[in-house]
Amino acid sequence: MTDLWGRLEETIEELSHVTDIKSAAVVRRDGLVVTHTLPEGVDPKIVAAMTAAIVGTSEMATIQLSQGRFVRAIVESDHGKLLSLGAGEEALLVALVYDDANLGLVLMAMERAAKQVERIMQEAVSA
Amino acid sequence: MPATEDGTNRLLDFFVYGMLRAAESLGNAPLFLRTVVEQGLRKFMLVNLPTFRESDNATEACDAFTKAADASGLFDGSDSVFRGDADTVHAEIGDRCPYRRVCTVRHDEGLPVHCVRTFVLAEMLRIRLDADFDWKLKRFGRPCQITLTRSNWRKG
Repeated sequence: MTDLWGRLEETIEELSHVTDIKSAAVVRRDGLVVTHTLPEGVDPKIVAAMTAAIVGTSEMATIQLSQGRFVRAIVESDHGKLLSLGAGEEALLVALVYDDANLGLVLMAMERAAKQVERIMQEAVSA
Repeated sequence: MPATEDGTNRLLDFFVYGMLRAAESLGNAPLFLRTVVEQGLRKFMLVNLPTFRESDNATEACDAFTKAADASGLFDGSDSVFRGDADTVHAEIGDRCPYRRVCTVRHDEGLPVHCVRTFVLAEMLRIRLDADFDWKLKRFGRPCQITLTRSNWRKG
């Protein structure tokens, strides 16, 4: 378990060091924090619950509008963007990025990290 | 205020049913329910169970909490049984659960049953033992069978 924890934290640390990403977090779909690199002054519990709500509502909107599969949610604001996407059945990956970020690069890194998170969490379940 | 106990019960049924349907229509019923329960439970424990002191053993804590809630007059917990150990709780909740009517309606409509009592127990463990517990409604019936297991995903 310690090793899996280490790998999960390493994945988030690596993602946080990608150019244009300020910080990142793995949260559960029921709104609880798993791990994060969010800055001091930001309440990870609030971010986790908000992210779960944003993704849940976005997924439902996608279904109601018959737009196929939900891919990701992007919240744009004056000083940055909040990106969130699924990381398996149990978890979500969220990243806070700069407002002028290269989204293509960021999304590639996030999708890679989300797959890693999914694999690690699956290993934890079967361990 | 409703004039009868039956009126209060029906009010609770309609409210919980409506709340669950609203949560589902917004996309994340477990998140919504967990948040509602967390906020309500903190207030309930502060007002009604200020002296409640639980064991570090999850099974004992669930049993003690249910007995304390029963003694406070919130619900009849005499048909709730808890077995297990510090990390895993096997619970059976019988007919006297105040949410049974709503759960039965949802079950009959083919909707998922979200066990409010289990959300409450999991949140109580999180608040008081500082531990996350994953839970599963193994069987909806008489009695309902639930398992709560200490989550792997919590830093020690």
